[in-house]
Amino acid sequence: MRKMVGSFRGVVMALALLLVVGMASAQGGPQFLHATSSASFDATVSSLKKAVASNGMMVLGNLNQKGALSTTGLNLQGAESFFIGNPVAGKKLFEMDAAAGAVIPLRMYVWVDANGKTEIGYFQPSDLFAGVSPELAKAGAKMDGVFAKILSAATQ
Amino acid sequence: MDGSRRSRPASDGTMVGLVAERLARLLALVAAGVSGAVLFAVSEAGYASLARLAVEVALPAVGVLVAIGVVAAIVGWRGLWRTLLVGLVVGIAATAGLELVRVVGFRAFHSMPGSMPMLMGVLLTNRIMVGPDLASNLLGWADHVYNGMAFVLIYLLLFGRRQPWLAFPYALLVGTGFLVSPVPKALGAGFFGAALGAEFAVTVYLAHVLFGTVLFLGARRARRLGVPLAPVPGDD
Repeated sequence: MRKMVGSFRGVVMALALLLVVGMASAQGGPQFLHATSSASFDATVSSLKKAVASNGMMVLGNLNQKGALSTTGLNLQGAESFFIGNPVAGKKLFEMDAAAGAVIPLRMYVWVDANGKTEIGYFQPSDLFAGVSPELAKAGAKMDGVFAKILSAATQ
Repeated sequence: MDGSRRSRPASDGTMVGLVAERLARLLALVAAGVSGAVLFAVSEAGYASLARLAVEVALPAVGVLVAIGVVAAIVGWRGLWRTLLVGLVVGIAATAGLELVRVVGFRAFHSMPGSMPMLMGVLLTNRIMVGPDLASNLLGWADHVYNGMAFVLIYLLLFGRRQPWLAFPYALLVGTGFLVSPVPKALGAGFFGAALGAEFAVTVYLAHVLFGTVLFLGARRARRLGVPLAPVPGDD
C-alpha cells in the first residue's frame, strides 16, 4: 500500500512538473539572441556603436557592469550594456502606449564569455513589446530586423 | 576689387607679416571647420560622444579662434579681426533666423523630430538618459549658435570678398549637408529625413534659406560699410 502511495505521489509530481514546463513553454519567454565576435571586447564595442549609428539608432546610454561589479571584487573581462533607441521611434511608441517605457530604450549587452570570446546579446524586441501590449508588437517586429542588422554588422 | 577694402596684410607689411596673416586665416578656417556642426555628425556616426568631442576638439578650436582674434587685433590684421567680429554678429543673427523657421516647423507643423539645441545639450552633458536641465539647455543653445557662427565665419573666410548672393547656395549646401549627414538617421528621421515625409526636408531648407538671407544681408552690409573682410589666398 505504502509503495502504491509513493508511486502515486511520483506520478502527481511528474505531472505537476510537466504542467509547469508546459506553461513556461506556452508563455514562451523572450528569446535571447546572441552572436560571437572575432574581435576584442573594445573593438566589438566600437563596432557596435558604429553599427547602431549606421542603422538609424542612437546609443542613449551605457552601463559598465564590469566596472560596477569590480567594487564587489568580481573581476570580469568585459561586461557592458548599451541602451539603444532614437527620439522619433521613442516618441511614436510612447504615444501608442506609455507602458512602452518598460522596455525602451532597448538593450544590447556585450560581454566576454568563459572562453575569452566577446559576445553580443539581446532579447528579441518583438517578444518584449508583445509582453507589454499587442499594439506594440508590430513596432517590435520592425525593431527585430534593425537589431539583427546591428548584431550582424557589429560581430562581422 | 576695390583697393580701399583690402585688408592690410600686416602692420609692418613685410613678407613675414603677410605669410603670418595668411597662416592665421587658414588656421581660423580649419578651427571653424572642425569645431562646428561636423562634430555632431561625427558623434552621431558612432565614433565618439559629443561630450568628448566638445572637450577634445571644440574647446581647443574655440581657444585657437579667440587667440587669433586677439593676435589679429594687436598686430593690426584688420581684415581678419573684423571678419571674426562680423562672423560673430552675423552668426548670431543668422542662427536666430534659422531657429525661427525650425521652431515654427516643430511647434505648428510637427515637421522636426524635436528641439535640436536641447538634444545637443543633453548629448554634450551626457544627460540623454535623464533629460535636459537648465545647464544642458544653455550649453545646447550656445553650441547651436556657435555652429551658426562657425558656418558664417567659414563663408566669410572663403567668399567674404566675393558677391554676397553666394550666401544662398552656400546656405543650401549647409542644409543639404545636414540632411545627408548621420544626424537625421540617428534621430530616427531617416536619410534626408525621409521617415518624417517631405516636411522635414522642406523645413530644413526653409530654415537655411533664412540663414542664407541673413548671411547675404550681413555680408552685403559689411562690404558697403567698407569692412575689410579677410581675403583668401588667390583672391588678392
